[in-house]
Amino acid sequence: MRNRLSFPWLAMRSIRLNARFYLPYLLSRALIVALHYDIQFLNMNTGMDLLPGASSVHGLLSVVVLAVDFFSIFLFFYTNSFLMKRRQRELGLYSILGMERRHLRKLLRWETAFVGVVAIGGGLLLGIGLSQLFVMLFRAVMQMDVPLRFEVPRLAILYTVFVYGLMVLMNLVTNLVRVSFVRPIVLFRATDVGDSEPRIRWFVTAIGVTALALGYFISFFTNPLENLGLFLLAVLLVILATYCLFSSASIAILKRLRANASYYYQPRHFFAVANMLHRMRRNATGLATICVLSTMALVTASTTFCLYVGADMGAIQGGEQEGRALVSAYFFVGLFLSVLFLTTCVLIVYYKQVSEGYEDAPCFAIMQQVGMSKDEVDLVVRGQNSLAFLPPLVVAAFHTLAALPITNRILLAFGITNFGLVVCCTALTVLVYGVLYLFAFDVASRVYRGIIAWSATNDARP
Amino acid sequence: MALLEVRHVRKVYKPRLVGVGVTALRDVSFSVRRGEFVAIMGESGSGKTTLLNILAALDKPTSGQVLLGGTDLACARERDLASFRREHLGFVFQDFNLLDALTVRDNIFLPLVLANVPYAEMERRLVPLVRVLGIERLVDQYPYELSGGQKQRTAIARALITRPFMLLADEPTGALDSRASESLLRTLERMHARGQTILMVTHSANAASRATRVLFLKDGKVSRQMRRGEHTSEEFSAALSRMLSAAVGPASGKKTAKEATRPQQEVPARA
Repeated sequence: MRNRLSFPWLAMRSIRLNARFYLPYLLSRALIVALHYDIQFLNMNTGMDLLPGASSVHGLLSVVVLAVDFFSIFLFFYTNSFLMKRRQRELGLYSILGMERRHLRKLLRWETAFVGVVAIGGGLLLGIGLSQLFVMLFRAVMQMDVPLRFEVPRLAILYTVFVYGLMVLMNLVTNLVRVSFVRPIVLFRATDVGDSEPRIRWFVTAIGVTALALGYFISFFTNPLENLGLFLLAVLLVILATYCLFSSASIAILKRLRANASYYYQPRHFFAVANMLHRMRRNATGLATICVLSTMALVTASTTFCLYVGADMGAIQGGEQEGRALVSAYFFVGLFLSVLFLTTCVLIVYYKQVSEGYEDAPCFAIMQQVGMSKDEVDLVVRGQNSLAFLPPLVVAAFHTLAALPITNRILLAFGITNFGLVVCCTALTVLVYGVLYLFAFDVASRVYRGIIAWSATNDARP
Repeated sequence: MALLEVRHVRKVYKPRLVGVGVTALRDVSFSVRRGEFVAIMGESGSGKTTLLNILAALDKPTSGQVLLGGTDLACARERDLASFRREHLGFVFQDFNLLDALTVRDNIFLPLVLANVPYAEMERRLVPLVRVLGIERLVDQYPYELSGGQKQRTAIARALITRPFMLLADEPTGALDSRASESLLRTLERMHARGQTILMVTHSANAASRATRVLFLKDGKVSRQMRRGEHTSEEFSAALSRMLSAAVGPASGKKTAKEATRPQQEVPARA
């Protein structure tokens, strides 16, 4: 008889049992993969080459792809750490029940293989579907002989699989190292044992501040269309700075808030501050990712918006049919990208709230036992959410503001010379984005509250 | 007047859909006076946890009354219950239930923060309490840095800082080794000596022997009770153990000549 407890079977089973953790995890990863593929698709579509000014757009898209690659690294480590935290107890139990470390490693390898295939494969399918849908809409709306083609660039697929395959491998290595060197009992207790209190890391802060200053400086004085390398450097520096500052400045700020007794010892601040500080190292990555995606969405959307409004005015004055069609094509591409960024960002917000909901649920159960009413739980959750909600949006708006010179230079290439218009469009975009973001956050917070309420009634008592 | 009055409490767990309900508590009546240290003993499945949940206002009885300090817990609204729980009851759980995100100090402050007590007042209450419990040096540490015994002391401090009517302890020594258990039980005795009313649920005769009165819960009813009287906790513990082993055999309410010299026994329980 075949051994029923085969590792692939066990790995599948544990994924199925942990579906509520795996689902948002897979979804957010698949969407990032789809985003990556779709940018590649636009960049490699043979039809794009036929558009005038394609070479500069190619350059910009390449920078965007590399930027997505770069922050995907952070995102993958972030989602992986949440998942492993949940899974450690189970792995610890296996090892207490007599599995050797090599068995655990084998199990992890199978799991990673399944999850990787599903996330990358699903993401690619999603990306291909979205890109075909996009081409269809594009053709329908443009009503002209559009250069964009239905195609699946093989290179785009290879590149995406390579990049994300590498990231999945990096995650696997981290997890294998952890399983190999941590004692089973520590694994078993890991969900209960908290992250140790984060220290303010001045070195990281210094890197963050330097990178931000440098990134902003370059963006003020660089024409992205002429010097792509520098533009890329600026983008990467700002992304790096965002991650550094979110993980170091946030800790410093929260510690200050905690040191202020009259602020800290209030029901709506108390748990919010302590809890955020408690897992800030992971939390910061989530918030920074939301911030980076928001910035990308904002810059893309505001540029696209300016292009549209500016070209409209230009068309009324000049009446060039040809140029208007070209601008419309780029407008459509920009819109597609903005929507993709926004969707991914919303999904990360959702992921963050769901995974934190499961982590926080036992705390809220304890607080209810100690004497917190459901209304007060709501109050605490709202306090916590507003503390987490604003910073990414504010920083993203700030980045967008700092990117104005770059946006302006790109638009100049399309013949839009009205800087006032650029500022107005950007401000309006930020406003609209803020409303959408607020809405998404509110929905995600409802999910979070639902998880807490559900867990409190089901696992409140041991 | 008794601090806690439990009158004919019955609790039936109904299945979600159709089927026969499970009766966890049949007809439980007893009372606790101010300053008493009462232990409730019973095997697993006897309804201990259900009873404690009802006393803690975390669950409502199917029928019957629970009067605590004159308030009927069964009739109160959820909102009022939460503040009642916070202000008048202190809880100690088997697995401590401390929040890892908070320092020991902040864990102890938790109920006071929820009650909007000013910071200065919280500090004023904290200092003597942590000194009595021997955790004054640990206040800036986190729960995951503490031993089981230290965690449970922190939990007791959190339970007592609101100066509750009653301390409810659910198997407080359940997750502790024998030394830490002994020291924790001494702490409870000391708290009792200072006038704290304590109700403890346990299946350990050793833990129960520190109480002034022990109620035996069996099949959802208080089957009998014993008073410690003038006996030492060792003698009382031995008597409780005999009682438990007798309960496993044919349950008999008759006093033998030998038992009459043991701690006072009342059968059936009436309070």
